[in-house]
Amino acid sequence: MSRQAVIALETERHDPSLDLAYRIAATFDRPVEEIFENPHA
Amino acid sequence: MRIDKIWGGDADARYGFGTFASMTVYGLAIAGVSVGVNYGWLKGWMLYVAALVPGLAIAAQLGFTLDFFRRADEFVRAVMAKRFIVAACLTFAVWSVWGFLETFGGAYHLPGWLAYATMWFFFGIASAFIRSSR
Repeated sequence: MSRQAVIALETERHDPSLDLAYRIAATFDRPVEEIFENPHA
Repeated sequence: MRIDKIWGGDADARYGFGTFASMTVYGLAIAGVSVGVNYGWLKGWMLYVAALVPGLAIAAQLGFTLDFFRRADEFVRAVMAKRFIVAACLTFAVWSVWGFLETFGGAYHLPGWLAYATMWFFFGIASAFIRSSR
């Protein structure tokens, strides 16, 4: 994952794919919903 | 730039090397054809064969660009694809307008091989404005 992608995620310029969201959640050992807000909830 | 980075998985190195190599061929081909035609060395079928070289160089450069898209991460791929599509659409639009002006309005003739440079010019402009994958 590139530096640009990390910045884009942090500044809400990119919606991660399901795969990337799960990988980030696994890296931080947290559930996906805790890191990315569910826009449909 | 190390050769194992170019042929390995490094998208930036591969793209940089590929673009440099293909655009060098492109530039040399245009310069060669220009000199060859001016001095009368290139004529007939040789001119047709020589004209294929810049086309092949452009195809190779586009191939390296698409390879870069494929190897980049999802954000870079999405943003680059958006910029590429916008640049291509602007190029089609500008060249179509100019073509109509040339055909029906007596506008100055522009050589078609400028189209590729126009596309990358618009890609640069688009890059300043398209910063999001959304």
